[in-house]
Amino acid sequence: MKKKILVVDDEMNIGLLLENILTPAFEVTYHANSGDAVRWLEGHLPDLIICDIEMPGMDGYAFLGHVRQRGFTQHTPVIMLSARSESRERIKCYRLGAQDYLTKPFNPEELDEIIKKNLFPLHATSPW
Amino acid sequence: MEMPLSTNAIQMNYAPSKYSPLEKPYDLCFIEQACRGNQESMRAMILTFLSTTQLAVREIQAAHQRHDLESIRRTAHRVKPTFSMYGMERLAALLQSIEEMAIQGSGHPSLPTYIDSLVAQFERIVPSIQNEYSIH
Repeated sequence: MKKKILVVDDEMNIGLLLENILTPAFEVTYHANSGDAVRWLEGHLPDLIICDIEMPGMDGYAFLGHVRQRGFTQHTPVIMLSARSESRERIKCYRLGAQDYLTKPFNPEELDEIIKKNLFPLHATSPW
Repeated sequence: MEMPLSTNAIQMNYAPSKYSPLEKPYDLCFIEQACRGNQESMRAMILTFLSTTQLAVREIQAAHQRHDLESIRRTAHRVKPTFSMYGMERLAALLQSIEEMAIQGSGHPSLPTYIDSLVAQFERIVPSIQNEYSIH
């Protein structure tokens, strides 16, 4: 059974890119805004979440906070995405409960290693 | 045929009006690899890129006309990585500068010029991509 990854990013090109990179190894669900992602989470449980920080309405920090407050997703690994690379952004994400942080444009190899680390910590090879 | 520059554009060191003959203004290798040779996926990604970036460039222009610096900043920040993904580093650099100018506050003297240059360069690149990938 494929692991499920939820991608939340208001930039459709990033969402489409991640869908292409991660499919077919994973079952990928993409939402362009946090509101839709929150509603989706009411009926689904992802194995990992990749989330942009700066989004209109509910930003990535607030979405991360919501994910951590929900019983079902409080331990779901979350990878934050941002075009910013400052340490203070990373620190804020880690303090809010994110596992990792990727700067856009990201290196797919780095994404691969981060996903592997969080989904398959005891295995050396990725599923794709 | 040389495309006309927008009337307010000036030569800038890092964003000249012309690319050298050996320099391609875009590079879709990263996208090709992401799509693993699937032409349908590639075409879908390029179509999305062209439509969304066109909207973003227009939004930056419109936001500038209504003196909405926050919209300029937010849109430039959002699409900047996308242009990098498509190997359009000069446009990404322009957007970085536009974002920084918008953060600095109203009245930055170079902002209109940079936005004009963004529009001019974008409008030159789009037909090249459309022709190469038979997208019209």
